[in-house]
Amino acid sequence: MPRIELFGESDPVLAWDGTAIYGDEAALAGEPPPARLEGSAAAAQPLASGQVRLFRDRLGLGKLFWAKNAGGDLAFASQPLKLVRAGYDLGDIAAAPRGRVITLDADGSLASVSALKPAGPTPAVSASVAQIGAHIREALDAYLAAVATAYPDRRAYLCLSGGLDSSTIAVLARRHFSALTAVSFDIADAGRAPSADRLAAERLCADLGVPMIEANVTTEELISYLDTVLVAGIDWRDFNVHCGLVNAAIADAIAQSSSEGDPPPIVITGDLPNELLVDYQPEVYKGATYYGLPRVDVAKLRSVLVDGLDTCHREVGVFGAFGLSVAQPYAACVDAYLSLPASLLAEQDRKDHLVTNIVGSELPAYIYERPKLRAQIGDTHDKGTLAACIDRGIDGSWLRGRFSALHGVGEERALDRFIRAGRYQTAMPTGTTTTEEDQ
Amino acid sequence: MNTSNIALKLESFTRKSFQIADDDPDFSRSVHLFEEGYVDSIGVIEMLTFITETFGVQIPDDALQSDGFATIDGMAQVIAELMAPADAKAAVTAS
Repeated sequence: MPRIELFGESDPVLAWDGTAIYGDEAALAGEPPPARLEGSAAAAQPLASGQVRLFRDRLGLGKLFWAKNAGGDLAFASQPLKLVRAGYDLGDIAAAPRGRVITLDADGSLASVSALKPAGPTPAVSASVAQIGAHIREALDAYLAAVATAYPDRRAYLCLSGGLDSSTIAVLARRHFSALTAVSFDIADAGRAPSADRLAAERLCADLGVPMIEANVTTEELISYLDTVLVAGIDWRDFNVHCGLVNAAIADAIAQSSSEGDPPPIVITGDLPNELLVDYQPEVYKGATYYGLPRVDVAKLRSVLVDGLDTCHREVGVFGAFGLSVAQPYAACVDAYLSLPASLLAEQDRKDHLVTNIVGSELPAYIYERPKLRAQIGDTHDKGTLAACIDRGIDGSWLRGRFSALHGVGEERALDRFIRAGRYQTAMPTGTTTTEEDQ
Repeated sequence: MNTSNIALKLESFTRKSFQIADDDPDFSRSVHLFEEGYVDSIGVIEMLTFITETFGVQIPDDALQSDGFATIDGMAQVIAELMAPADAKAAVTAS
């Protein structure tokens, strides 16, 4: 009879059902995920009946991969590399479909499938930006309160760039967490002045009364995280790798600041609004264009970016590599963001417009007035992770080759199937393939 | 719409969108678009958008990730199969 094998630990689970947190403890105890769920959640749970329950959150923030051998045995793991080490080829590894709870019988046959639902109500179609902003505020506060209640003994670290998204979370989180520390990333090679992000983060922390630690790395130290990011981030595409490098540096700083024996800290991030509000653009460095985007209308582009969250693990995976669980407050209000009117997406200052309706003047004016910066780019085009990589010959082709080498891929064409059109190869573990209609 | 007509539209879109010269000796409807570098991961998304808008079909994941969906001929075949039920329904309705 075919068997089901689980390789390694599941991703850290930190999800929310609209009221309470569904976390690692519940997932490891075999408790089923709530039918309504937001945030990172993916696991394969062996059940007393001999069955195995699989689940992934609706956005696909938590990862779960599988492969089948010639004997029909099914193998599951949170990272493709764990399956590669178990003898499977990357080209034969697929992601389990997101947004599903799947139960397999002991022989791997499909017993049941159900769809996860949004954790809370979605704003009405006709809701105004002000109403949706209020809805988002309510969800963010409820989510942060639930995390603080679930983990009263764990120190919370907030990744703070000083931009609108993370600063909004800083304003809200300080009210919920008695032991909140902000973490500010910077490349700190000799002779370089602090970045504009660092200065903004310092000023905001001082104004909010939140302590801040510095995640300072030299360029060489930043590059040293590449293999960790490629494996734990499950992606070779430059944009995601460059984001993952920043997260690795932050994660390392948090891990080093924690004392041995302390409960594992919680990392709070301000990610997701860039996808939800289509706040990305291609970047030019030394005459070449990076981070290209498909030439489609803004509504389609948002759909592509949000779908793409299913593919790449630059947040949960990279922090998880340092033993850290990630709380992503904006995951608690994804449907509210997706209900924003199309006219807002067309606005140049759409993020300012929305944030004004979420936290208003609780966020200092100097945060609203800052130009948007990316840690990948830096503030002078010679300080970000993009430049750090490109100047060392670490371009898209190099990353692709290194990812292949780390995963034992002989022919890189296997990568084209593993991620195509911004999505992992995805299939139901029984061998039947899921479709978008099923989602 | 038959497979040949679908392939014609796909080829026209691909040449125009990804700036493939008319006299490129290596380009054909059977060339592997991804391995030969004609279309990258971003370009696939543009192709999928074109396919949905032009032919009114959504490409399911299994077809998207198949080896066939790497050439214009293969894509045309997939699209034709997806359109077939709709065409059949239209014929029944018309009769």
